[in-house]
Amino acid sequence: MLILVSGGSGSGKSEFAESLVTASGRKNRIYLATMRVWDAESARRVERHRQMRAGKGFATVECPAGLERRDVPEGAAVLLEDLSNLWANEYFSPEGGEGGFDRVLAGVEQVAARAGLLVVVTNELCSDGMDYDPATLAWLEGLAGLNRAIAAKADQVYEVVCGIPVAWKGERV
Amino acid sequence: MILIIGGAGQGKLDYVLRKTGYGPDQVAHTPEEAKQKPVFDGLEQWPHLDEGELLAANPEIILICDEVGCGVVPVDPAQRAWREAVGRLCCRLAARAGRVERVFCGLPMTLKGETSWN
Repeated sequence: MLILVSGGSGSGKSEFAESLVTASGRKNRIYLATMRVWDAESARRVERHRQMRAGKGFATVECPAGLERRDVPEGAAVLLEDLSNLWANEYFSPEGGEGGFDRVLAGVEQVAARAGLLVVVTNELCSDGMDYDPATLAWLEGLAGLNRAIAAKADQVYEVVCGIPVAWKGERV
Repeated sequence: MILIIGGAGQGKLDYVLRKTGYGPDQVAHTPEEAKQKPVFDGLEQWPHLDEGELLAANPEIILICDEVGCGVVPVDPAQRAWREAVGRLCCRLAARAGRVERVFCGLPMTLKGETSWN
């Protein structure tokens, strides 16, 4: 089962994504954390998410890049948070980001095939004008492409608005 | 309380005025005014609103807020914090609202609340 959860900043998408994992009843819960901590603000964000997850039985696995090389236990419930960080780490990597799009997509497909449930959290970033520098625009296009490709494969797709899940594909929960 | 959200320029206030028959002079633009008026527009300018105080004074108010979190995360830390605060405020308000609608290109979509209004 593959579920894509999107939404804007502060929309409540993470909390909803976590609830999908806990509601699945699967006991082996893996949290694939993609954010690289490099300043006080990112440390605060990570801490906020850690507290939100506390007591929900997740094992946190750092995965800022290289999802396609990551092995997950068969049948586990996996929460990937989030696609835009993973894609940024691949795209803006010091090695040049060549082939990053295909690596991310292959990683999602492999984890989804092995896990019992994969919930991918992504971001809606393309609804606020597109007046950005070429590198950011290319990254945005890549993210939109990944969102489309994963949504096409997903069993369910949700957009979270003000904490309310709007079902775009699959059964409404 | 009813919460109306949507991107800038989508027709949220027009929709509310059309639906309710209220005029522009019945629309509040500050939290103080909002205690006395039936509609509060521009909530996104007040990310640190004390919603408990407002709703105690005016439990049936219609709140209108821009959705501001759907773009690239801004470089400016204050802009980032503002977007985040507006988003969290809307999550809290949506949880308390009897009705939540999202206006897109002038068209309303009900996100919460089964019964019709006005």
